[in-house]
Amino acid sequence: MKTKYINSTVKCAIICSILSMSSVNLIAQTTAQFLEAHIWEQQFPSPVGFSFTVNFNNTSWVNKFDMDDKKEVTNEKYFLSDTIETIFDYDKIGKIDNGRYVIVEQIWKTDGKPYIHLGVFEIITLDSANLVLKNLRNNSILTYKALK
Amino acid sequence: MTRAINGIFVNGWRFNNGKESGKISALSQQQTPFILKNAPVENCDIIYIVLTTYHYTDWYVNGSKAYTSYNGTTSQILGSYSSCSGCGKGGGGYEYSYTTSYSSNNLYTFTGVAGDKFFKTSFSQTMETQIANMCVPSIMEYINHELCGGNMNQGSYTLDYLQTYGLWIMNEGVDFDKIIPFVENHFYTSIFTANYKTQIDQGCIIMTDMATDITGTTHNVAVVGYTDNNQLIYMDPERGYLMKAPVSHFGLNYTIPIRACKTTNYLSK
Repeated sequence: MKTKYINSTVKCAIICSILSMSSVNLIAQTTAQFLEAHIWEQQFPSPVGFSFTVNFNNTSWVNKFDMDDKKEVTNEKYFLSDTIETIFDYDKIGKIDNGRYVIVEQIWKTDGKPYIHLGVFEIITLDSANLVLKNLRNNSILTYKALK
Repeated sequence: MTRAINGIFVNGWRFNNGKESGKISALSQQQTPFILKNAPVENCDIIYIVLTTYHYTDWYVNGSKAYTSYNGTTSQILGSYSSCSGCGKGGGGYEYSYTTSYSSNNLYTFTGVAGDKFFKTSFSQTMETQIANMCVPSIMEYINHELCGGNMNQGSYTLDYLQTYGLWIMNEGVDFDKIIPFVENHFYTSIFTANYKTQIDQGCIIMTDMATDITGTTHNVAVVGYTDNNQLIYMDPERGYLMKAPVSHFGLNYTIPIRACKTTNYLSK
């Protein structure tokens, strides 16, 4: 009788644990939530004399440059994707919560005229403290630390 | 990415997780004369013969070609005519104990030997190390400080690039087809005579590029001297100290002798 009771208790504990883990998964943060939760400061191996941070909101990748009295902010539209996108689909902006790639609309200038280009950044690491992106255009690695 | 021995782009592929996701090809190549206005005080025009290569990428999704994107151009200076007079005062040399360390790419850590020649007799042989994307502005900062005694910060160059081309260097690096006008905006340059030694003796620092292990990119460095066994001594911004390598390692896409600075005080920009 006692053995049966112990077995039931163990079974219950196991099932409860599984259910508990499932519920954790159900409320796990999305890629977008992780990205938007922090201001990310780019890391350089040595001081560069300025700071460069990025933060994400629902629709924009915001770059901020700060050097003495020189400050610059740019906003670029983005969306998340699990595949390498080949066109920038404006209908996807702010509507996809998870993805391996950050797809960015970039406005390049040539002879003063703007041209739209597609930026594709692979998310290598994303947690509450670290963000590492790989720019697929030149395979460069961009490393950030969470500021808040 | 594949290049011919002379540095001309041939073709390449982009891989993700071991699978081919993009195929990079040289769409076409053409030679065009390219005129650079040099120092206005000397009123000289330099005409480079530039080989322009047009690049595109075929993107594959689930094994099927989905899209072709245009990646811009790369330029290689094949030759030039007309010229400007010298690079100012230069020459000189150091005496050092001689040691080298060998790396797989035939690159050596430089420590110096009697007979080595530099663009000037006294300059810093170290700099702050930098990430790959920042190798151009960080080398420009180094040149500004060491050649001109300026205090320009790489952040100032980065901002200028953003305002001119709309791109953050930290994220994107500097495109080959933008590097010459970008450098010309901040430095007085001279025609490259294909003779590093002569131009170093004239006091130039030569900004050029080398091969890297990263597909699709090259590494920007500053050649500051040469040895008597035909090696060039250069500042590597990713290492932060001087290295040396054979002449054949340099000048894959551009070679820009720099003889003076247009701006020395970053607060004035």
